[in-house]
Amino acid sequence: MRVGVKFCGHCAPRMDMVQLCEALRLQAPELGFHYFVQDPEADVLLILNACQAECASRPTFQGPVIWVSPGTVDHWPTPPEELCSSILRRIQEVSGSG
Amino acid sequence: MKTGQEYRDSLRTRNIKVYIKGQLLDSKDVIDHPFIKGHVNSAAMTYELAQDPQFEDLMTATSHLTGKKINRFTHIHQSVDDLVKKVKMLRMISLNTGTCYQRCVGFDAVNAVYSVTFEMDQKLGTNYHERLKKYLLRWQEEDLMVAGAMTDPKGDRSLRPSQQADPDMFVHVVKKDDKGIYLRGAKAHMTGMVNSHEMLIMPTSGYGEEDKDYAVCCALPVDAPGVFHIFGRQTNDDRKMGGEIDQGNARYGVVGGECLTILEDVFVPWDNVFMCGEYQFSGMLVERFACYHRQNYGACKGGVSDIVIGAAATVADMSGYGKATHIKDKLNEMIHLAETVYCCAIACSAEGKPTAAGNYYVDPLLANVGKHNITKIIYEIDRLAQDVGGGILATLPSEEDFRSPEIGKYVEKYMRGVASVPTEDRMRMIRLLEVMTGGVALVESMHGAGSPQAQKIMYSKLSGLENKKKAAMKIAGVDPSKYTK
Repeated sequence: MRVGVKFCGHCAPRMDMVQLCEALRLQAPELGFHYFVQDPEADVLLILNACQAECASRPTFQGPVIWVSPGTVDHWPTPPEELCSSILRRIQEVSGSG
Repeated sequence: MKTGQEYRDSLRTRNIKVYIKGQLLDSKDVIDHPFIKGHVNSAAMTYELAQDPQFEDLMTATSHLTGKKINRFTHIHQSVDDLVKKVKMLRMISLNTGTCYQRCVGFDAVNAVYSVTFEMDQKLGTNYHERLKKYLLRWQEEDLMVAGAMTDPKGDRSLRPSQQADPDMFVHVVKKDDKGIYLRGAKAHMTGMVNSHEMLIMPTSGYGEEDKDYAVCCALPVDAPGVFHIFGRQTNDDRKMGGEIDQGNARYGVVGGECLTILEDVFVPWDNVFMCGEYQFSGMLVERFACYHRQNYGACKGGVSDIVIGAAATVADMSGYGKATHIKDKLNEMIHLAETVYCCAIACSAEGKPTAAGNYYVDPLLANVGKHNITKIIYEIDRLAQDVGGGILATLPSEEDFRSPEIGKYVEKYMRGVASVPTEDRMRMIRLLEVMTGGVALVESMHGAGSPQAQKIMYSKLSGLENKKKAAMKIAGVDPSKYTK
C-alpha cells in the first residue's frame, strides 16, 4: 500500500505534522508513506493540516482521501494521543485492507 | 524553481556596486558581507521552503501564463484563495526567519502593475500589459528576486516633483530614444535591493500633467550601468562584525537590509517599460501597490510577533518567573494582539475581488486598517515583551565578556537564571528579544508600506462616512434628506 502525504504549509503549527508523519512511518513501516508532491502515485492520500483551519489544498486525486487536523480524523473528534492509531485504522478502512 | 543555493550562486554573477560605510564592496562578495549576509539567508528561505514538501502548499502556485508550478513570489493572484495563501505563506516564513525576507515587495509590485497596465492599455491604447506579461514570463521562468522600488527621496515634501529645487529628488525620465528611456534620481529605503536580481521601479505618488516625466514604471537589473547602492545603517549593526550571540538573530538579521539606490542616467529598453508619462494612472498604481503591500503586514508581523512572544515566554521560563500570573496575562495579551493584526490580513484577502485584468485585488479599506494597526499594535506587543523580558534586555554583558578567559566565569555565574538552563542559552534568548523589540524593527513597523497618515487618508476615501451619518440620522429620527446636498 502506498500512502501519499500532503501538508498544509504549516503557517500555524499547532501540531508538527512532519513529526506525526514520522510517527506513522515508525508505527506502520509496511505502509509506504511518501510525499505526494514528489510522487502522485498513491493508493490513499493523507492530508495533514497543522491547525484546525484545515486549509490545505486538495490536489486532484481519484482514490480515497483522509483529512487530518490536530484534533480530528476525517472531521471526527480525535484526541491528539490517538491520532496515529486512528489514522492507521482509517487507512485500513478506506483502502479496504482492514 | 531555483533552490536556495542556486539563488545565492546567481547573486555572485552580478556586477553590482554596493557601498557600505564609504567602501565599495567586491561585487562577488557582496552577499558575504556581515551587514548583508543575514538578509541573503532570509531571502534564500523563500527559495528553500518552496522545495520542502512541508511548505510547498503555501510556497508554490500554478502560473496562469504557462500552467507550470512556480514559486508563489512570482505569481499573479488568480483567486481569493491565492490572496489568503499569500498571507499564510508570509506568516509561515516569518515563523522560520523571525524577520523580513524582502521578496514580497516585488511580488506586490508586479501584481499592481499587472492590473494597472491592463486598464491603461484599454483607456489609452498603449501596449504595456503585453510587455509586462513577457517580462513576467522570464521572472517566473528564472525565479527572479525583483525588488519593488517605489519610494523617492522626495526632497521638500511640500513641493511637487517639478517644483523641487533639485529635479532629481524623484526618479524621472531625462531622455528617450527609439531604443528606450534614461532615468535619473534615487529610490530610498530599498528592501532587499542589494540581494535582488532586478528592480521594478514605480512612481511614488499620483502626478499631474506637469509631472508626467516622473510617471514612470519599468524594470532593470540591479547592476545596470549607472546604478549603485548605498547600504543603510541599522541599530547596533557593528555587532555583526563580532560573534553570534550579540546579534540576536545572527542567521537572518533584522528587517530587510535597506539601501539607497542611485540611478545616474540609467538606460532601460522599451521592452521593460510599463509606464512612461501616463500620469493619469500613476495614482492608481501607487494605491494598488500600497494596498497589496499593506495586506502583508498582519501576516509577516503576525509571524514575527509569534517569535517575539515565544522569546519573551522562554526568557521568563529561563529566569524562573514563567508561571507568574501577571506574566501569563501579558503573554495572553500579546497573543491576542498578534492574532488581531493577522485577522486584518485574512479579512482583506477574503474580501478580495477580480480586477479588469482578471487578477485578484485585496479589499483596500481592510488592508489599510491592517497596516495602520501594525503602526500601533507591534509597539504594544514589543512593550509587553520588554516588560516580560526585564531590564537585562538593555544591560546584558557582551559575548566577548562571556567568552573572556578572565571574566567569563563571572558572566556565566551571575547571568544564570534557572540553574538547569545554561547561561549562554539565556543570553541568546535575551539578545533575540532585544533586537526584535527595538531600533529599526519598530521604525519599520511604523513606516514600512507607508506611514500612518497614508493609511488614514484612505479611510475618508473608502469608508463612506456620509452613509454612516445618514444611518445615524435615521436611527435618531432625523430626516437625512434635509442634510443631503
